[in-house]
Amino acid sequence: MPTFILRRTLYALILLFIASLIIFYGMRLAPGNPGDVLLNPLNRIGLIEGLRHKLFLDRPLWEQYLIFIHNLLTGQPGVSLFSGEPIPNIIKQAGLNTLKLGLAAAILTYATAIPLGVLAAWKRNTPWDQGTMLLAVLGMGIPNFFLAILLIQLFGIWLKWLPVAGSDDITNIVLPAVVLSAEAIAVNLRLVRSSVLEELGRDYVRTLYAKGLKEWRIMWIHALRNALPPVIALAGIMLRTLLGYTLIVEVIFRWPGLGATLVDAVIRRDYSVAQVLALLLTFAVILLNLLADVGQQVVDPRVRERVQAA
Amino acid sequence: MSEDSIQGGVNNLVSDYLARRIGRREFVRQAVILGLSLSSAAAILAACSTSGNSGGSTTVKTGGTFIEGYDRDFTKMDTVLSGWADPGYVALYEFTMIRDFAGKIVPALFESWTVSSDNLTWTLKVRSGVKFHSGAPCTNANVVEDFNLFRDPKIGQNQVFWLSVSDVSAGANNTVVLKLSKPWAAIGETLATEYSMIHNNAARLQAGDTYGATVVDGTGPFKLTEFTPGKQVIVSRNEAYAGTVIPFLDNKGKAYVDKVQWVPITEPANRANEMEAGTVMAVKNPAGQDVARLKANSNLIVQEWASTSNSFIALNCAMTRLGFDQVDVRQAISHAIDREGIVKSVFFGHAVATYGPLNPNYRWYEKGVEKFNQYDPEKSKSLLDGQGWKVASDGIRVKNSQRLSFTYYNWAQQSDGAPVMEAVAASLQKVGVEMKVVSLESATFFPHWNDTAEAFGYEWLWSSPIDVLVIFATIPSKKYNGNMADLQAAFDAWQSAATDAQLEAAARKAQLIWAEKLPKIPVVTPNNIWVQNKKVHGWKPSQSMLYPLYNDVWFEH
Repeated sequence: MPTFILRRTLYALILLFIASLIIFYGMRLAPGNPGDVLLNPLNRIGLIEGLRHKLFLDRPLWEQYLIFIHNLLTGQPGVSLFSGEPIPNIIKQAGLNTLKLGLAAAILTYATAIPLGVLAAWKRNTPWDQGTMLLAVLGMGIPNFFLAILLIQLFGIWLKWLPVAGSDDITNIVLPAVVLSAEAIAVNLRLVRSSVLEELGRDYVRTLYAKGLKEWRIMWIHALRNALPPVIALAGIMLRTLLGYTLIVEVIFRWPGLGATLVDAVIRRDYSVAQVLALLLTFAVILLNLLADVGQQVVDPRVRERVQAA
Repeated sequence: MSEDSIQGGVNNLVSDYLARRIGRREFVRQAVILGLSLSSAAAILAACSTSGNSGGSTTVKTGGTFIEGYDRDFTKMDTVLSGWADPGYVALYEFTMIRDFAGKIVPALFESWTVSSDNLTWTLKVRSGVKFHSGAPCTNANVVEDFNLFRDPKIGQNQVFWLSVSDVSAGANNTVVLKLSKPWAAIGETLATEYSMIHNNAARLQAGDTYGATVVDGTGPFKLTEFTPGKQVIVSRNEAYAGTVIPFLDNKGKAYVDKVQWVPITEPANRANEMEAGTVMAVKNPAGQDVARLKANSNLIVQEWASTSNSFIALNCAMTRLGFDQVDVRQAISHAIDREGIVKSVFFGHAVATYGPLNPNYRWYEKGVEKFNQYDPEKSKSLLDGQGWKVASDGIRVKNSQRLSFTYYNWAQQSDGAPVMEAVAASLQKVGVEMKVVSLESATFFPHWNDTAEAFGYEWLWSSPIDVLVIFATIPSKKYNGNMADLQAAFDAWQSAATDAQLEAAARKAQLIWAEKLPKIPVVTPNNIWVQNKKVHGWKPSQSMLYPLYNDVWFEH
């Protein structure tokens, strides 16, 4: 296991280096520059050269890249051109918010999908099963922005139970987390159900029934444990998708996270902020995939054996 | 004064009072001017006070955090370097001069001013006892230092508005002396913008790039507490505030509320939601489709009027192959645009069609522009026919093998820009003109402001509109705008006008020439729509200011 983690860590570092090159050059290849956004359009011609010089944009690209990497490695990534806010502060505030939202959505996803999926398999072809499957179809079928509008109208404006925007109170996270996790719940619910059903048809389950084990024990402990590996394998992709969806949810619920900040920075050509945040998100995705791989090995001895053999 | 005009004046007064744009004293004063007796004015006032619009409570309640939704995200609040003024400016800084609700310039940080007989020297008296948030005194030396930064072509974002100022120096008795290279009565317009607000430059230099974000040292009624773009800006009451002399403010001392918090609601549809859910107490510019619903809500007050802006289509007047050098072709394109239809379909009625470069809310609006640019597809076709543009088999006109087809660059930042221009394109199609709309974000849009662009559009926002026209007649070049001598002469007259009467004459003339010759084709002016909870008092949006001031604001809690 340590060798596997070490190898994957080295792999992740190489990926990060390649990502830094792509992100840096990608930003520079895009037409326009910060001066076109930052300066008053009525007066930009006279000021644009001074700004380019100040931001080192008149230097060769390789030199700009080295400055970017140097600043990053020395812990001085700079400030936002538009807000003047130090980038570490942006990461701290927006990153923490995205982490909170992502965690809340992930917890909601698995805390809902696993029990409901097991229940659907256990009570197969009953109204329980049909009800949860209907939920899954709705979760996958309703676009998340539309679900957001429905929930805002119902819980925010009509019932006034929950705030419709902001991030100051714990209740602010409820609606965005529900919207963000809706599709993930649906996908995982179906996966858990089919995976548990597959396990229920296996010989060991029949043996457990024959030994007189209580049905709930068979379901929740034995069948579920063996049904989890595909769910964990999917987790890396699922969490990455959640990160992608945060942008829409952040805009609708005015949740000040990384997604909206990154998109704004790219559109405004706020190079420093965009580069650092894009790299950070790349790092997060690589880390999540690494954790999913390790998690799969911890849960499933068959995977562990295959890796060791390789 | 006729009975009708008295009635109209009283109605306007009542509206202003109910919308809290004027106080009781101002109401009585203006009512007496209109010819009403004191007792009649008092009776009307009493009736107004019992109406539902007043919110029921008249005793000021101090404290609390006033939360306002803002229709943009925040940028640094640095008057020298920022290209956009957010509402935080009017809380953190003070205007040097300010427009009242009628658009008249009145004292603020400058308590008075005089103009020399040759109209070349303005002497501005800075109020004494004013201090920056840091405790440093704000004197004429600070004003001189800041004004010189504003007009510095190397860093001043709005330096183009200071070209007539040849020298700024400190005078006796805390005065500032502005020397002009030629008379210009409109210099007050520049001084009354957010970009002429005074900051402590020592603090600005010390803070470096973080000034306007983590540090702001102004003299306003609030101090900066938090600046988090994408989330919120919070300011706290300045307990050492020196007070104000602004005549239309009721509260001349410290602010009533403890804090003001602005939250960016960049998605238009969310603004009404947040108002209805009570997340914010006031908001600017809800989506047009939500306005009727908000107006029907008895807990809310909705006010709207055309903003000091206008959207235009800039056809490249030097583009001879497309015939844009011919005024007939430009007029033909303008006549094909169904502006009223756009106001209804895109803005749900919350905008005004513009036939000249400015909208009817401008104090020197020239109504004569309305004889130009009216929707008339037949006239449009006839003008194009007259210029030799014949309809080809695909429905698009052709002349000398050149199709009358062009690319229009739209600024994606303005959310209503694309639907407006798609509607324009559909109108043009009907007369045989093809306009291909390409929407671009700022970074890729502004580089297209050059002489090779066939057409681009923009919606400007500036409280001194003629000054903007002067500049837009040169963007991206005079050649692009047809290099019109008579228009330039009108602008020269504006820029050397010594009196308001001369300014007005020049402004009206410029509008007429613009509307006829179309260096840029006017389209519509969206309304500014202000929504507030009835429990909020003293929040007084005005047609002559970008944002309401916060000195008078309080709310029932």
